[in-house]
Amino acid sequence: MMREIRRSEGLNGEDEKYLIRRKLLPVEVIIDKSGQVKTFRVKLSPGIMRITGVMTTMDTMVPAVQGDPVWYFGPGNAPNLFNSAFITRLRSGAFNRSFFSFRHTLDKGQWLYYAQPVSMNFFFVWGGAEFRKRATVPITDPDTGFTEDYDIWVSEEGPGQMHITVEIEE
Amino acid sequence: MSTCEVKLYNGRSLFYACNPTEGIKSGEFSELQKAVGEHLETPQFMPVDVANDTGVIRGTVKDLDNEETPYKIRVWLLAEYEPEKL
Repeated sequence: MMREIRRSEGLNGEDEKYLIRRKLLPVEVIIDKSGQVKTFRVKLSPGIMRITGVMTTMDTMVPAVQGDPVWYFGPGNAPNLFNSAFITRLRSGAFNRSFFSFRHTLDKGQWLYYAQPVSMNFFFVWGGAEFRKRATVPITDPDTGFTEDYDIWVSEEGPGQMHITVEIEE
Repeated sequence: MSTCEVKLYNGRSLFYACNPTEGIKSGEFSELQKAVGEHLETPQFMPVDVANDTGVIRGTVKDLDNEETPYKIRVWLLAEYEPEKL
């Protein structure tokens, strides 16, 4: 809040003092295309009688680009915490084959995690251990900044050798 | 070089002001600039009276084709309350 004392001459010739209060109201507008016109609407607090100035600041934006879809796979211990940071620390790779499998020997207190984009169609087959789809969470690619929803499968708790087979639908 | 044109309207959609393209700058206002509101008053800006029955200000932002898109514009309105007699 900005304040200012303003003086003006009253009808009786004496100085009158007024307190002027001002407030900055920010509005964000994203321009996507050249020549675009966007509108905005601001609801003002009671007591505001006019807008006495306006300025703009500009931020350049780097758009997120969708890269090739990837899978994430690996052991860990996050029974109730499936977030982007945890999943993207697992091993990852591209879907460059239509049929592939993962195998891993778990220690006690570890689970095996597998994640794939919701947007892809798969026949999903599991082997020596039971995998269950436990969550769907938004995953942000650390390289491109692109975010999309992933389904996450979790194995039974170790110890033991677990394997999972994935077949991509043609 | 001007990036975009900003116009303000009162709640009745009547045009009152302005084209503050001279005021466009990169980055944020400093704390000092925010504290000293007078610096934000735009030259040749015609104050926009708020229509009492609406309590809103409308605006348009028009890209002038001088900048790579996309970009984000933050419009700062300097709102003034009714003066209080001391």
